[in-house]
Order: sequence, then structure tokens, then C-alpha cells
Amino acid sequence: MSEVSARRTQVTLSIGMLLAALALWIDYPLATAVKIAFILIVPGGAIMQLSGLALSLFEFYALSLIMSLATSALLATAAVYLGFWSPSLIFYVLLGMTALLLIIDLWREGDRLDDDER
Amino acid sequence: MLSRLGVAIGESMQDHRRKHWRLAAILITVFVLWSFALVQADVARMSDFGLLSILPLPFYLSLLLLTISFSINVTKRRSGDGFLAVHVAALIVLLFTPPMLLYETVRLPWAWKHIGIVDYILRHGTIDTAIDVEAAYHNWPGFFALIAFVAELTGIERLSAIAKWSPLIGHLALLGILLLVFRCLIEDRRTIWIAIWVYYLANWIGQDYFSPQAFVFPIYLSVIGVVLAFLKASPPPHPKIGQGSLAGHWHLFIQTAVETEPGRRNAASAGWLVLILLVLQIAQTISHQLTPVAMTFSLLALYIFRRMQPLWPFIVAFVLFGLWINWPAGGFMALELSHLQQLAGDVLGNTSANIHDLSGLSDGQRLVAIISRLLTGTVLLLALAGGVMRLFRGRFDVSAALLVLAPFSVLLLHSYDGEGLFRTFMFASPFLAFFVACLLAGVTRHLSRHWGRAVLSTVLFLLAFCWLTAYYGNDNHTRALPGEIQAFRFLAERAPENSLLIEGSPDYPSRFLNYENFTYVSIVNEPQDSLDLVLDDPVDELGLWLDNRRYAATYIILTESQRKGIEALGLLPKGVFNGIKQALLQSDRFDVLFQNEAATIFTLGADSGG
Repeated sequence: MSEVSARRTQVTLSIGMLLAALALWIDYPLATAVKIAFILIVPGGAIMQLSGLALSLFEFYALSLIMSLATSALLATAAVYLGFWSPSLIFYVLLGMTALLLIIDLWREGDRLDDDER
Repeated sequence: MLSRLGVAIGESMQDHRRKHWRLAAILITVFVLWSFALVQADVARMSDFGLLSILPLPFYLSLLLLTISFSINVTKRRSGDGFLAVHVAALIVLLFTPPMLLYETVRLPWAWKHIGIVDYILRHGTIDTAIDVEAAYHNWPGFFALIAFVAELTGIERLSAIAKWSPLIGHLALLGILLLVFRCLIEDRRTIWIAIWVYYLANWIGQDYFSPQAFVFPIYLSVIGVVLAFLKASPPPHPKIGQGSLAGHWHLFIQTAVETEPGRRNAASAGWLVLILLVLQIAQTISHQLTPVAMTFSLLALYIFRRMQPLWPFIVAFVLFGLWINWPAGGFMALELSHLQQLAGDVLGNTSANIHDLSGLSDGQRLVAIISRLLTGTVLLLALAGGVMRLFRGRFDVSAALLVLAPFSVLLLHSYDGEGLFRTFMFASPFLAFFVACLLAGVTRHLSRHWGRAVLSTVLFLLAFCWLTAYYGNDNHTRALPGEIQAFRFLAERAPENSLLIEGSPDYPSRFLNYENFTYVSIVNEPQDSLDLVLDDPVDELGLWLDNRRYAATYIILTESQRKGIEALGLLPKGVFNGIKQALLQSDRFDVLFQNEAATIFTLGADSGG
């Protein structure tokens, strides 16, 4: 991905995460669609974004989707096996994990810009 | 000079805009024709030849137009990836959405059974690995837990909508994964996009419906794609061993093979690579029994032939699979062990377990089976020709060849209830498509531009026609009917725990609600002597089956999908199924508990001693 695409992706993922977090408390129109879109793309997108793998935009979003679903499947299966089945809790964990990854990404971006300025 | 540059840029932009308008016009025409065809299609008139029997001419015209447009654009030097991706996305919509729009419900009976497992998790918040019915799903619950999570978070009433539209999402996601995989095999853009197109027409197995297999297949390809892109071995140094020796030849072969494929891409951090592969492989291991086996063999083959530098992806796959079948799924595997021991090594038996004898099939189904085999044979032959052509050009596509062959090792271990051969074909199909594309791209380069496009369009359209027949050919009897869903729901909401449900066959939409409350017995799956007793005197024999004190309640359900499937596959002679139903309807021993145009539910009458 080019640097511009990477920045755009970072912004898109962050907005997606914030809208999904909002959907937990406020039942606004399209809240369900936002939750589904979040589960489909954002957690995996945050992982792929941080990984820095050289991928085209198509490849990036396809792998983001697969990684998002895989991550959700892992958490949901753990909940089923460990006896704490709570979809809201799984969603909170996904949100927290994604937020953490996006913050690390922003932090690294800041460091990189500092290095460039020096 | 500057003005000339300005004119050139202006012309280029005009050309660009014209290209986009042309594409938009073609796509609008394609979708107008396609929509017109779908509006005209009458599902009630479907014959034994499946969905094709009701698709009118405009549908095929839309497919032909899209195929020609793709053939022209893929052979142009200046068509961008986005342009070709739009064509493939249009193909996916064209091919896969008709059942979503035409049928009132989720298409296949097994999808309904999978909904039943999700329903179990939603009601209990857990799974039961020792359950009697569908125990495998409880031992590999990853996919079902994921769907239960999504359904509960977004509204349970959307579960069947998720099931209905999931194939479309799966295929669109695969597009990007296929792009990643094929770019690791070849740099030529024409071959890559033809391979993607051919993949959708070669993989007719139909394992893309709402199922664990459909969930893990993109994961399998993602792991392969990531491994080939970021963990590919570098060319080995020149051998110090004697050039004429066997080891020397091996080194030379490996070196040439490595050098003829695109090189490894940049991976910024090995740690993230490990994390990504670990997440993908765990998700795969907890969701499906067969795919981790195919994955293990594929990764081992890639390592042995030096297509993958490190051994750890194979070790991770092997250890995860071993841990899972020994620990969370250990109880299930212990029960299956004797069955597994019988099947292990019986390659011929495992291969032929689901190849039907065509003589018993109805005329329409026989034609569907012949065309399905023709499609498989054509894809295999074209792929072989493509591989040979590449060899003559000094290209050793070792990775693709290994990924065609390695999944077939699964047949050493298991028939997978007769589906092993089909599943392995599915795993191999992207790489078969790659070799077919090598042939087609090579041929189009040899011919003049117009002839090349004509040949490509013709081959792709013929493949598409065969695919439509093979993929939708069984829809007359595998399509779920709303009346059947209504009937099973009626029963599932009323039947107590520990009920007996006798079905004509298991192939109808069922088990999607309170499924664990029933013990299921299918008449056509009974041993021959038991089946003969039913056919001789259905009222007496089925009355005996229902009069069973071990169960809290007993029922018989006979549906239209069961009848159509039984007659199409020749499991019972034509008319026998309806004969049984009429005999039960006319008998005083049975009460009709529920009846609509698609299903009838019987129970023993109050005065019959039941």
C-alpha cells in the first residue's frame, strides 16, 4: 500500500471503531450495519495495518476480512468453551484490542514522522 | 513543448474517461439483461435439470457480454487491475446471487442444519461435545460460535439472512486472496486475472454455502498466500556436489524452480507474520476437521521442495491439529477411531465413495452428472496442457503443482463421508485454474488479437455454461421450500425432549430449531431388509416404528424435497414415496398433525395404541 492509502486506511479503521463503539450505547440508524462492518473489517484491518506487510489494497482488505472473522471466531469459541458466553463482552474485547492496535500504529507513525523531521 | 504535453495529457484523460463510460455502459447492459432474466424466471417451473431450466435467454446473453468484455480487457495492455476486478466482481454477482434473489429461503438443506447448531449455542451458551446428533460440529465449533456471536449482537432474526447472503461475501473476499496467491506464482497480469476468472468457473463443488468449509477455505488460501508471499525460500547456492549426481540434479531443479517464480515480498516484522499465521491456523483448526489436514500436507510439501523457507508454519499446523484432536475433540475422535482405522490407506475406496452409478439417476440428473464430470475432466486436461506448455518454456511452477497434488493426500486417511474427492478438488481448484490460465494466456499471445479474444471468450463462456449446470443442477430437489421450513418449525416448537422423528430422507430443511430434542431416522438410509418391510406394508411397519415407548413422542415427516431428491437420485422407484404418503393418509392408525403444500407430519392416532 502507498503511504497515502495507509493513512486513509488508518483513518477509516479509526472512524469504523468509534462508530462501532457508539453503536453499543446509542441505537442510531444503521447501528447494526456498523457493528457488522466493524466485525468484518476493523480488527483484522488494525492487525494488517500494524504488520507492515507489502500488500496491494485488494489484498489488504481481503486479508483484513479473513483476519477479523478469524479473530472473532477465536474469541467466540473461547467464550463457548470457557463458559462465559457473552456477545457484548466479546465485542468489548474486540473493540479494546482494535483501539490498542490503532493507538500503537499512531504512536509508531508519530515516531516515524519525528525521525523524518530530524 | 509544454502545449504538446498538455494536449497529450488531455487526450489521455479523455481516453481514460471514455474507457470508464464504456465499462459503465457494458455493466448497465449486463445487469439490465440479467435482472430482466431473473424477473422472468419462474421457480415453480424448475425441472430436474435445476436452475438452468428456468433461466431465460437474457441471462446467458448477459453472461456472454460480460465474458467478451473481460476477454477484451484482460488482453489489453493498458487495462488496470481495478477495471478487471470490477469485471470479476460482476461475474460473482451474476453467478452467485440468483438463488438469493429467486428463492424465498436459504438455499440448501445442510445450511439449515448448520443454523441449528448456532441455535443450540444461542439457547445454551455452550456446546456439548458428547451429544448424539451432529457431534462433529460441537467438537469443531469455531464457525458456529462466530455466527452465534454475530447473530446475537445484531439480532437473532437476521440469522437466516446471514446464512442466505454469506456465499456472496465469501466469494468477494476470495477475490483479494486469489490475487495475493496468484501474484506469488506469476508476474504476468493477464495470466493472473484469467486464473481468477477461471477459478470461479472451475470450482463447481458448491462448498460455498453457509458452512464451516466455506469459512475455512479462504483461511486456507490466506495461509498459503502469506507463506508464498513472505516466507518463500531464496534460490539455493550452486551445489558443490557433482553436477551429474542425483543430489546435483535435485539442487539444480530446485534452484531453477525457485528462480522462475516471483521473489519474496518485504515483511516488515517477523513477529507480526507469526501472529497472523497463528491466528489463521487456530481459527482453521477449531472450525473444521478436514482443512487442517490438507493444510499440513500442503505446507510440508512446500517445505520439502524449498518453496517455503522456515519449517515453523508446518509445525504450527501439525501441532495445533494434533492438540485439537487429542484434547478438545479427543472424546469424539476416540469414538471415530475404529472407523478411521478402516478407512486409512484405502485410497481407492475413499476416492470412489461418492461417485454415483449414473444408471439410477433421472434423465435430468444424469445429464447434470455427465456435464459435471465433463467440466472436471476439461479443467484437469487444460491444466495439464498448461503445465506442460510452461515446462516447455523452461518454467517449473513447482508451488502450484504441489498445491494441486498435496491436498489429495487427504484421501490416504478418510473418505469424509464420500465427499473427500470433491473437497480435495476444491482445495486444488485455484491452482488448477492457474495452469488453465497459463494455457489460455499463452494461446491468446500466439494468435492475432481478435482471434485470441474470440478463443478466450468461447472457452470461458463454455466453462461458465458447464459450471452453471454442475453448480445449480441439483436445485430442484436441494432447494429448501418455505412450506418445509414452516412444517419443521411447527414440530420443533411443540415436540418434547427425546422425540423420534422419522424422515423420508435427511435432505430437506430441518434441525434448525431445538434440534437436539429429536432422534432422527431416515427411511432411505435404513438397511435393505428394513426398507423392504416399509415398502411392503408402510402402514404396519411405520406404525411399529412409531409405537416405541422409549421416546416421549414419535413423528413422521414427509416433504417435497425428500420426494424430489429420492426420485432424482433413484433411491426409490418413482411413485413409491407418494405411495407411502397416500397409504399413511388413508390409514386410521395415523393422525395428520400438520399439512401444507410442501410437507406432512404424521403421528400415531390416539386409538392405535401409541
